[in-house]
Amino acid sequence: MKRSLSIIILLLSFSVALSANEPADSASTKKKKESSVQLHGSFQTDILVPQEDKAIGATADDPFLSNSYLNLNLTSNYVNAGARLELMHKPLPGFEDGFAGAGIKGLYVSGGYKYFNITIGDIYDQFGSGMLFRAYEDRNLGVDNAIRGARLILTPYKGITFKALGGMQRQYFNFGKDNDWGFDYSKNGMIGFNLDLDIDQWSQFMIDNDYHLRLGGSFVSKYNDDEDIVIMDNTGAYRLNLPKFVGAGEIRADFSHSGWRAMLEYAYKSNDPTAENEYSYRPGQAVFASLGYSRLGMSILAQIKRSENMTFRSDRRFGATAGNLNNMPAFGFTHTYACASNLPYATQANGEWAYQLELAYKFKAKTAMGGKYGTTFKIRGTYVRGLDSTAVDKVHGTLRGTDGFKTTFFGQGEEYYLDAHLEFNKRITKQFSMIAMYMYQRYNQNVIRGHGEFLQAHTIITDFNIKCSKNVNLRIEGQFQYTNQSKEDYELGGHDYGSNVFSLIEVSLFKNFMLSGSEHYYFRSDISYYNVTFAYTHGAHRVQLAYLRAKEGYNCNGGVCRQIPAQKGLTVGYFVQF
Amino acid sequence: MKKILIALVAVFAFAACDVIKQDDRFEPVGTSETSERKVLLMDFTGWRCVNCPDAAENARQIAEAYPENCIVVSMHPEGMSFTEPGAEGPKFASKEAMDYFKAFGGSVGTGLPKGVIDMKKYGGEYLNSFDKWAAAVLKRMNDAARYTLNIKADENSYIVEAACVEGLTTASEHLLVWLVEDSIVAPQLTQSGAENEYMHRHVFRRCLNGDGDIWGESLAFDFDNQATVTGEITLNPLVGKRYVVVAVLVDGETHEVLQSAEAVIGASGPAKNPGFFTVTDENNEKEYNNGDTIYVTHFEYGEMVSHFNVNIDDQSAVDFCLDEEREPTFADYIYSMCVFGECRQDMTGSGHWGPFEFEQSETYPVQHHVMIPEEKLGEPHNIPVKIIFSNGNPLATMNLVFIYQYTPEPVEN
Repeated sequence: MKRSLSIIILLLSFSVALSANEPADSASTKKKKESSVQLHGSFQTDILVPQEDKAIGATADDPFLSNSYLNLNLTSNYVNAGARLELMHKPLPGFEDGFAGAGIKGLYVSGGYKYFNITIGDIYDQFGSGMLFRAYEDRNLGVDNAIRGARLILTPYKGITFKALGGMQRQYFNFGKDNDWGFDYSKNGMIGFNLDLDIDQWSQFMIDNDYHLRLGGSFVSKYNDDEDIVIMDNTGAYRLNLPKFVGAGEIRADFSHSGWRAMLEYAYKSNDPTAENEYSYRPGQAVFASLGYSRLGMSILAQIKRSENMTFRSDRRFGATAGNLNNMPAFGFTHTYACASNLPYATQANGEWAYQLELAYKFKAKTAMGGKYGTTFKIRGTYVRGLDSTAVDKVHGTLRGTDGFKTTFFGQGEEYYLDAHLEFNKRITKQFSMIAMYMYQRYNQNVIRGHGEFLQAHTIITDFNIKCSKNVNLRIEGQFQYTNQSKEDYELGGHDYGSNVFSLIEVSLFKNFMLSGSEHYYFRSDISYYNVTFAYTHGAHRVQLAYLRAKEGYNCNGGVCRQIPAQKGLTVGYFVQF
Repeated sequence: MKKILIALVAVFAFAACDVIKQDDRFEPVGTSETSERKVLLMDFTGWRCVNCPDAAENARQIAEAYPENCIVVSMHPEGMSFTEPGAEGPKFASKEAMDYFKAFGGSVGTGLPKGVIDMKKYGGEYLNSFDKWAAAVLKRMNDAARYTLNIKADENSYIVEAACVEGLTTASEHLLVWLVEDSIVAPQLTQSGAENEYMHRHVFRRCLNGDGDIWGESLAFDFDNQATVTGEITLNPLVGKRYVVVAVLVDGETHEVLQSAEAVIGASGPAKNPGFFTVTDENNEKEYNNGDTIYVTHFEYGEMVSHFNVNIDDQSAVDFCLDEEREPTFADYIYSMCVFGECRQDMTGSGHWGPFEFEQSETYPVQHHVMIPEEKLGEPHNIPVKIIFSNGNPLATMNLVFIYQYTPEPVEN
């Protein structure tokens, strides 16, 4: 704590030293802006009144569960401030136990003048693609890994942006008699630096010809207190010598011109033994490359990533969604259709080779392929394999304390995941449009979920939108998924990933009301899951009521997944923005 | 300028990396002197938890390194996806285990495995991941033990003797007495798939005292700071190798374990089958115990070979089934099989026989009618056999190992 505070003071001193050396801005050239202070915010609450349903494993230990958020932001010309109050004494199902609690989060004050901006409080930011550092909030996933400390942003010259930040990372809540504000932080520290150079800003030729080139570099270091991890074998007991400081660095280049864009990023992390990687001392590294082209009516994107042992947490004890300092670029598509999202992929911490290809093309209106209104085709695919790795020799009967495994850089291991789908989007008439999709998936349950056989799935999705009148819109979905899950896998694992069918009808009235009903039926377990929802939107307000019976599953976004248990009951949601 | 440089140096000192060389990663920990404390390690686990076997192995290493100072009990909390038996799994989950789990901050959604050491917080948490267990047990062993605890037990009763040897009693001591079953062979999911013959150790079965209260009974010490408690035991048929009774003395307010003790019921080693149910060789001379391997090594071609007899003594309307798991090539050389008088010729897949109802003392042979191809000569062929109650509770498991000594001439049909 003291060390983090001293670093913050040092950073502030650094910024003051810099500003002191700059020529003083003439008072005569300053314009006094009329001060305008504005308050913005939002309030959101989601409530579940649970019911027990033994057939699907839904429990009802509490009369109701809720997650509530009140966000307030004060903005002015030079200073902004904000805070977020969260109430989650009994959080919604699927959130980790540590989420229960209440407190003030998202507390910050930031101010800027000319080329510097300083923020004190809770900081959300990202370096590059996030392979080294990403602090963000995703309420659905239960991710909120803000850094509580300070951040300095300097833009001393055009094309140069320098960031320095440091502090402690948020874990969960720990609201209690000894912790009135509910803050629960890792009690360890981190510091990070990021430099971005927009080379094109220094070249008139590049500006005139629409060339953009950004070179960047980052460095992040974390500090962890020592702890006792003891290994035992028949020769005695041994304590692991754990590194207190773990550093990671990254370099990157981002080039774009006339619809083309190319990115290349490389990151390296020093030895970082944690509970998650079973105290492996192997350094981590990641490479990410992307090439894309887009113009009106067409886009193409190809990406490749190799990552190895790049999970980077502020505290070596953390797991699940807590305490991630970084966020590896996700290569699995986040599907919104029910059947398509049955088998989601989560980025593997040990490492993977991942490939992604996307191609979108719109056939113009009034052409043979485009029809009267145009037709859009999308072909997208993701393919992930493990690394070609072999375990090293055990020491004292365990891999803990060793490098864990050896790899060859280009070698690839077993198949983890394949998602290939073709999507067709067409407006048939002025009132009627449709989306059709076919998807093929290959899913290594043993790797992704920890157990189970290799699954293959074929999914067909149709989505029809009918504008019945000016004030009435109808949407109908029909989906079918076939999988090869065996009866043995179902009985052993207890989860039905077999063939299933989904249907939905949604009616929107007067742009304010929405009523929908859906059913998702699984053939093997012979269970139906349903959802009836009513929503009303008026201005900045939105109210939603639903009665549902939901299957246990995963909520994934950006390669991060949260397991959600089965639920049944009444849900109430309210959101307002002001 | 000088100040800026000092600031930069300070910042980058923080940003330095500790690179630990391979030879410097393990620091020997001096083993503690003989400790009087017996540390209780509660391993919350589940048969569907693929990481739990690693935790169980870790617990086994700790208990093996400190057999006089560590008691391990595996708790299977009821109501979790990790512990629900489904159609294939063992019935280890109990409400009491879930009540303990909740008392330490766990819930249905908590990940497994998790361990609790002497019902104390370690690192600010009750529930700890298994990489912390060894250090926690070692640290706890070094805490002075103010109490001694001894327990004796047999199939019908137990007697616990407690004494406060240092300081005064608190008047809030509670005694918990648990029944634990050890070495049960049952399915377990592991990181490399399902293992049907996994050895489950120290499985918590139920509380023996407390009348439904998981925190047992209040213990009253006499003027000599001693207390004695007795209780009765009713045992279900043994599924594992042995029953163990575990006594845990706790502080009634904090539930911190003050001392632990355990006693194995009966002789150590493989338990015998319940008295009403015995398995003997075909001549009723050698008695087989649960877990034994029965070798079948000599038979004539076409002979109906008896391997073992199941003897039922004077039980009314007891239902049994017999299950066997066969390798795919089993059908190549076994012509028919008769179990308890029921004969079949379809030898493909796994076999399930029964239920059989026994209403009086009976002896039923298990027989195979064999025709062996030449390539199987001398090759051991293992078939795990389970004898189970019709409600699915296992009664006995044994392995049949066929080793064919000679090949007869095939008979042309």
